Amino acid sequence: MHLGPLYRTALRLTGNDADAQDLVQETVLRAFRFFDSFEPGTNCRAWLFRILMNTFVNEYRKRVRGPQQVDLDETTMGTLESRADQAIVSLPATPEEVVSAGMLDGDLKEGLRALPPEFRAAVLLCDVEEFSYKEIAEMTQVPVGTVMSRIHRGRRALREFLLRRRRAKPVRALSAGA
Amino acid sequence: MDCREIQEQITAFVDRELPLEESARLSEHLHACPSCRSTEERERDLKRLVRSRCADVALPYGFAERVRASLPGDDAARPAAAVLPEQRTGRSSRIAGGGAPRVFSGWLAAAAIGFLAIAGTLVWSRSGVEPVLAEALVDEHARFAKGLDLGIRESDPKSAAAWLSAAAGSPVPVPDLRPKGGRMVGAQMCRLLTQGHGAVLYEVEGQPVTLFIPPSGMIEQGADGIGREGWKPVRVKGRNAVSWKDARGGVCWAVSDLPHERMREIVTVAAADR
Repeated sequence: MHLGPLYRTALRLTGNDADAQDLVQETVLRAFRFFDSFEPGTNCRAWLFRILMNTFVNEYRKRVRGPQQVDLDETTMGTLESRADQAIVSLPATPEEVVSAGMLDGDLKEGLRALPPEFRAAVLLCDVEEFSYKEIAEMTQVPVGTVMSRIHRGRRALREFLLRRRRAKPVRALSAGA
Repeated sequence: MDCREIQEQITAFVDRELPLEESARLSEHLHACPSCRSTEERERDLKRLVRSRCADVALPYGFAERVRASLPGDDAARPAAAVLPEQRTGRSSRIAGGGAPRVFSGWLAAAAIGFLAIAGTLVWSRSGVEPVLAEALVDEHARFAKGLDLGIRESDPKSAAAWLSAAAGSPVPVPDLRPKGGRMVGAQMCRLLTQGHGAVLYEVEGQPVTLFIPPSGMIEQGADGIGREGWKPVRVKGRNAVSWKDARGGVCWAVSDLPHERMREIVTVAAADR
């Protein structure tokens, strides 16, 4: 089954278990209903992820979007990126160094949650699910160049988030390493 | 290529989305530019970090069963067999325990993992490729295929052989694959297990192919299973690999995404080279 990969992606997209289960269940039901649109011989996993992304964008986000959930637009991403550039120049640590300095799993997950959903999805589909840019472009219905831009900018913003976290917790990190 | 242009391409480079030639150009720049190389390493580290921290997520208890139960009953076999085909990887195997009583599910999961580990070892021992060697072959191939870390860019096998032999301190023959439609891209010395090998990158039908050739006098490694036909096809980490003994008796390896039969043709040429 492809439930495992669908669920872990849904979990990162929605941010909680209950919504992730709903999203995957809806995805599977749709896959069942629209099974005739699946072309035998093509990539079944990519097809299922395309349904997942469609369901997430068209149904789930409309339904659950509340006042506390604010989408970061391109301008906000620009600001994040510019801060990321400054952070990278002032603190040229690699993410692995961040980990060795005591970063918690929660920091990375929080950093991912802080990304706009489109950017988070692109990074996860590429890095965790190992889909190609072309496959991600088809799933999310944007040009390949947009996929590349989202991955590039998403990673930069994530890196900036982790570096800020490291700077905020230097004493804890040092004591953890002692 | 200037640094600004490079910065924009590093993401695609790390994700193996650049065409081979562009990748090779970018790799050359990275060798010469510590600043861009540092950016590339950061990008690669972050990618690895995201994967390592996000890939291992267990399905909630009983979720798979609930999903199955929610599907319309009349055609229940259809989604089970086609829409959601069984995936035979270890990670999703934990789904199988969904219907078991909770008290046994942990035990069953441990037993399943144990079984998979034993099965994995059997597969490796049958293929004759040690996991560490397989890892090294595929990782080195992936790096060279991106044009990364090539010590020399050279299309002439004789020049590459001279360069590798000087680096290894012992002769390293470099096959000429042009008669089989292979174009040499470059070469580098690399380490497989404990021994240095000449690694030569070719492009065959648009696909990167890496040949790993031991210097003369090297102890054989991975020779088990090379039968009378003189070559051994295996799958290593999702890629095709073949090993063979060349005219000196040295055990060589090739890794690519080409079909095994096509690789066999390449091996036939390479095996005859001295």
